[in-house]
Amino acid sequence: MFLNRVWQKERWLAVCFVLFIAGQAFFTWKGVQTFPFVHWGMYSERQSPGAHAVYVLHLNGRLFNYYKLPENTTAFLFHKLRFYHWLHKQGLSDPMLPVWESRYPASFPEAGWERLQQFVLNDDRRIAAFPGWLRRYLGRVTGEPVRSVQLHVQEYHYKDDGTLRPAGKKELLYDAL
Amino acid sequence: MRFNSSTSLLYRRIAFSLIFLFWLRYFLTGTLLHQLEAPQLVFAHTDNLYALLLFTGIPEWLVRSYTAALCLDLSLTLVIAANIWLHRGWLTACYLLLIILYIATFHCYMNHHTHALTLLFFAALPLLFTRHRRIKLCLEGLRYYILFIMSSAALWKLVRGTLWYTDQMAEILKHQHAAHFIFGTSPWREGLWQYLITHPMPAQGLYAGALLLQLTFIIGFFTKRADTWLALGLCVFIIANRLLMDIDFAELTLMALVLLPLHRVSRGT
Repeated sequence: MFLNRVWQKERWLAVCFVLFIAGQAFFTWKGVQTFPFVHWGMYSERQSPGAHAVYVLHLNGRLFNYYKLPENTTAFLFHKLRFYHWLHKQGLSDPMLPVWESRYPASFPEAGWERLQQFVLNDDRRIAAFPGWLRRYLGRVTGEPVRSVQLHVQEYHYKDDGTLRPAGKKELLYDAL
Repeated sequence: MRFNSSTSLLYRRIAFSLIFLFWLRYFLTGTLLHQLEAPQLVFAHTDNLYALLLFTGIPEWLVRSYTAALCLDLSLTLVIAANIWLHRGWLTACYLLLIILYIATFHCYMNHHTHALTLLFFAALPLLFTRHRRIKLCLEGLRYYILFIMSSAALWKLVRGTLWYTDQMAEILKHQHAAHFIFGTSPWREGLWQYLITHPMPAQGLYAGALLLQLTFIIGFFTKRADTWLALGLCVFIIANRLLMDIDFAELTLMALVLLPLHRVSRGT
């Protein structure tokens, strides 16, 4: 057995391995992702049919196809927009607030909780600064001055032939110089 | 396994060369920290380590200060390049510390945590040591970890029963590609995606194929004879993910490296 072999050659390394296995087992059991433990369960949950959200950006009043950007830039932008949408659905409050409230022990100092809110969670100041950042960031990736940015979430349903039919639409932000 | 210092040197050179290429790609696609324009909104999700790092204020300082972000990016570039040629434990330790900082900061400010970047950490971990006996044991440990990762992915699908839900893959593809259809990103692949969305059975066949491929990694727990085939399977998995899901798992090639019989290549060098 591998662990036995490691124990005989490098005891402390075997202890490290056992601790890592215990950590992996714990976080797998909890079902949460914690660096560096990998939880490779994606796409194993049942995917239910329903509406599909597409984030639509208009820059300076014109539709902007951000899927033509370099792949990693598109992915970065998409996840930012999706998170902003999530915040909107939560009434512009951080969706992780209940999680960290429950994890922060009541006996710990108040100053620590304030620091956690400042650096780990999104307060009103941070959320309000997002549209300005988005305009700046898009200006950099497009190489053109962005005077206005508008973000919509457009929902689509699939028709039987595999094409898309638009459903609801909602404006998430508008920011202009 | 005839593992010697040449083998660990070969592993180091290939692993850090690959890491350097990935790093270059992040730069060219604008995802190094100094290229993010001081992003707003942070998301540690439920990750305790990320939350702890955020709590220190270091990631916030890194993204707010262009100079600090540029320094981290440049330091990592130099450290990765140096690691290709120099076999020093402290140099690898520097890399590991900096890459953890980059991964945590990038994930938190991207508002999404991916698995791919984590592999940049794991691939270098065995090289923290200079004695090749320790490197060998760590690489063996890493080999078992990639076997666990892949086979656990199959087990999750089996345990959750989605293999038997015939619309699973078609629904995944619908969800994954709605924006691609709207923005017209890849005409030649759109035909394939549309076919699979409208034909759930062949799509589910591919889902079952992926599960089977992941399940074959269990073989590695009993024998090392199939390792080269498993490395090849990993490459097939990377290509299939790119083709069908438009997901980039290129960093998984670092784990394929762990499965390859490098000791045979390095023998006599």
